[in-house]
Amino acid sequence: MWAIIRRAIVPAVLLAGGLASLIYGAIFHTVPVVEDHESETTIEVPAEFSPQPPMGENFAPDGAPFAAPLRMVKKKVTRVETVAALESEPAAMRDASVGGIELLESGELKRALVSNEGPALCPS
Amino acid sequence: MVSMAKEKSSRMARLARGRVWVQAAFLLAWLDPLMIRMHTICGPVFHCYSCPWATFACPIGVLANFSAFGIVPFAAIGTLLVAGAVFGSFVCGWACPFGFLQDVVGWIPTRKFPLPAWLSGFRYVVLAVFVLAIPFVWGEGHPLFFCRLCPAGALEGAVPNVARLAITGQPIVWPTATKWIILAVFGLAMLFVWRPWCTLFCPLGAIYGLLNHVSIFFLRFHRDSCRDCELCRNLCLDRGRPEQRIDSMRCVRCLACTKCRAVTVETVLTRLDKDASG
Repeated sequence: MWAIIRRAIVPAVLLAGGLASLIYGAIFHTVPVVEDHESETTIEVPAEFSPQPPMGENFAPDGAPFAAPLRMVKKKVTRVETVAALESEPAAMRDASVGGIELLESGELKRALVSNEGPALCPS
Repeated sequence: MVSMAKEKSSRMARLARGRVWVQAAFLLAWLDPLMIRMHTICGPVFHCYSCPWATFACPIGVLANFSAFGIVPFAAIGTLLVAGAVFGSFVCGWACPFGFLQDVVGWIPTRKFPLPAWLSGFRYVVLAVFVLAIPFVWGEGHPLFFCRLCPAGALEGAVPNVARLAITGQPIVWPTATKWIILAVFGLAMLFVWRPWCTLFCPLGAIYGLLNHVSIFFLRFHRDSCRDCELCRNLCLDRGRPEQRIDSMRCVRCLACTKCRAVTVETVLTRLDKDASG
């Protein structure tokens, strides 16, 4: 009986360790990945062309130079923000398989491709 | 005890005859028949996840890529430990698609040259240097990054993708010349050496080989049943010496040697008699 227990203890420990590692990696382990987020916002900018006041109206009644009011227009712009997110290990595994994560020189991981489709090309 | 061993051995020999069907069934499972890519899950076998028909992620590809990122791949390590602790290198002999390919090419009747046993130690160099150290130090851009050299990646990833691009009329991105040369060399080697990749280079086989000594299932040589007929030695596809190195790190547990009644498959829960070794 003791011989069987002695023989079984190493595989049992390895199996338990493997299961623990698998569960931790699949459920709890996360990887910090930065990604560029594009957002569209509306801002007010000066109009590109402001018509000059007609001749003879360049001066206000008190003789001071006439200051044409600055005309503002609304414009839609796209902002790119780099945000950090935590990605699960399985998701990082999938992204690595499509070359969807790259290591920056700063040591950070950056999402290079946002796609849930299969690999278009061998990442190597 | 001798008759029990004989009965077990003949049962295993029958199972070994069906190995090719088991390998074919596993191949079908790895080739994503339902077209549901599950690359968030690490598979236990050597099958490139750049392959258009890969169901799971390649454990060695995950180890190499995560090493380049400086992240510990807990899920991949867990998968390898679980598969290795239960089955050891049964995975190589019965489930691995790249091993199956080498077996199939090996059926071509050419002369097979045996390799010295110590050469299989090179697999640990491949694991330590090409899979872990080079990616960790130089990243995945290094020309010696494991996936750039892997013949399975060339065959299962690069070739189908080149074909797909050619068929759909898109500009073809050719793999590197190094990859083609490695693929050609291994294709040729498969004709003259039994499972050259598994024997000499496979880092996954290196991991499972280490776990062979402590796995729940193991091979056992019954000295009391041995008649010194060298049958087990002749049956071994790897030209190993089952009577001396049963279940060695190089063994893929194909069970060919179980046609000899002195070799059986046991579990750690089997009661062993005192006279037997292994």
